[in-house]
Amino acid sequence: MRHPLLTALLALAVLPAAARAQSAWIESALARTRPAVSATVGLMEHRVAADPGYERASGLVFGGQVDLVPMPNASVSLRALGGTLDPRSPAAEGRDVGELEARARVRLLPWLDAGAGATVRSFASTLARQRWTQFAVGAESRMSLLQGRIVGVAGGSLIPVVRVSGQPSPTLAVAALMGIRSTTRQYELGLDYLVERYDFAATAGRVKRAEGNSVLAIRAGYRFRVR
Amino acid sequence: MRRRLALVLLAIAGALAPATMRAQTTTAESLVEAVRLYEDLQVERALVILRGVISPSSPFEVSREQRVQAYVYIGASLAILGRRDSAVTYFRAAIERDPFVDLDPARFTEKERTAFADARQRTLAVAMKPVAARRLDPASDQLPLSIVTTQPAQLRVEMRAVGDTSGIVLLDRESEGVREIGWNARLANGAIAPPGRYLLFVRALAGSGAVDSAVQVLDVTHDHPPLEDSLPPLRPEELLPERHPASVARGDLARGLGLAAIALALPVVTNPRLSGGGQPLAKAAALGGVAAGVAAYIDRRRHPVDREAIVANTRRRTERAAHNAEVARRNAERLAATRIVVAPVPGLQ
Repeated sequence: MRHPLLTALLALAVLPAAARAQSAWIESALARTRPAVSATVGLMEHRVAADPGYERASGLVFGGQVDLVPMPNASVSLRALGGTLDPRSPAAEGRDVGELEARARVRLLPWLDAGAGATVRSFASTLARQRWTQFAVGAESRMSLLQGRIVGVAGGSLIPVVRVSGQPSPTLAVAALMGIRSTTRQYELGLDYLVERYDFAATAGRVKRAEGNSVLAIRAGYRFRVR
Repeated sequence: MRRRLALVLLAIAGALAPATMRAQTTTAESLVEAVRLYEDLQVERALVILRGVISPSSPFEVSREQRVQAYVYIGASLAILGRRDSAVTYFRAAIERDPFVDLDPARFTEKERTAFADARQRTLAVAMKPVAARRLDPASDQLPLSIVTTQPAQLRVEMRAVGDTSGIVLLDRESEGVREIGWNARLANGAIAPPGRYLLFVRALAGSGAVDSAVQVLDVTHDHPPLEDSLPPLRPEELLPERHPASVARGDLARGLGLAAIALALPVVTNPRLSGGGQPLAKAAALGGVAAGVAAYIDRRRHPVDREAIVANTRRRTERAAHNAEVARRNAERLAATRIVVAPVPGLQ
């Protein structure tokens, strides 16, 4: 601060070079990872079946997703969803839901991917807040329609690690997926249907129960391209 | 001992030596002796030997050159003896066999040369010197040709491919005596003469109407680095079908319906206990699968042309054309360095 003029001149000299370097780095990163961003709107449904009760809540969720291709046969996705589920059965209660998921996929065959993902999901009602943390591994197969302009996806996952706050972990957790995606050079439109099932064993003070989440989401995306 | 062995070997070699060699040697010795006698002005004795050389009953083989030499010296001897008409007759015999023959002023007298000139005037003969094998650069070299006519005559020299009426006229004009011309190994249209067998025609038409002609058979070959073969055009079976078969549309529909079935099955398979209250999301997802399949089916039926196959086929054709163009360019470079080899055909002169 003793030499404000000198500082300003130095900044003027350094900033354009730094900006150019930053711009080059961004272009390089875009070319290397081919990022895509997409917006998601979906319908989420949460069901609980416990002897003798049955709960069902559903509602609209909104979110976004970022996809990166760091290597030719590998991709990484980050997804965030949030919304409010309204009670659809007498015993159910409304709740807010928020979810953050990171997933990586590796192409094993032209029609088969293997993937692994971690999800953190939070249900918050007027009574309590419950956090789910889980790690899944699975596979997805692709089938091509219209010479690849439409791609159908079907897959399944095991969820070997599930942590639910305030509860023991489920004895079985699986997920399955069906999706349809239409892709052009830069735009992608997709319909994904995801089903998750969690079986909880009867423990002291708790009855045996099953919980399930399903999401039907429409996703519109844009992939950045660098010439 | 060694001497005896050498004699035996010499005797065997003498027995096995070709008879023609011995005959030629003998004819040559006779000619040498006759020339020596002629130069010693013992022309009568020379005539005896020379007549023996050309006699049909001569046991020795006589080459064309030897026969011509014998006729020349017989003519010269007769001219010395004052038998001019006989001398002219023998000179004509020599000229007919070798129109290039001439009398050296240093060795023959004026009287002999006058008789020889008379013989030339009475004999129309045209000939060309045998073409020696030669390698030509068509851009700069010429094949030398030496042609002679014994009288003033309209001389026409033509190079013509065997079996082809087209050719190139190398000379067509009045001429007498020896004339040197060249052929640059090109045809009338300027193109390099293609490989093959060629006839070199020489025809002389004298003012008296007398005609004589000669021909040489030549082989023309091209000497250049080996050429590359271009690739043939792509056959239909090497190209992708540019229209989708109907089964592709049905397959797309089946895949869409399959996705719909998977969507309906997911909640049943994974959450049978949670299926109460219906599965509206699964039904909506199944509807998406059906819509994708039907849309793909309709699109396939409406647009059966496989654009990707067309692009791929076009790319293949372009690549092949580029490859062949490159081959043609390299071949053109090699052909530009072509050398023409012209060689007489043995036994066809």
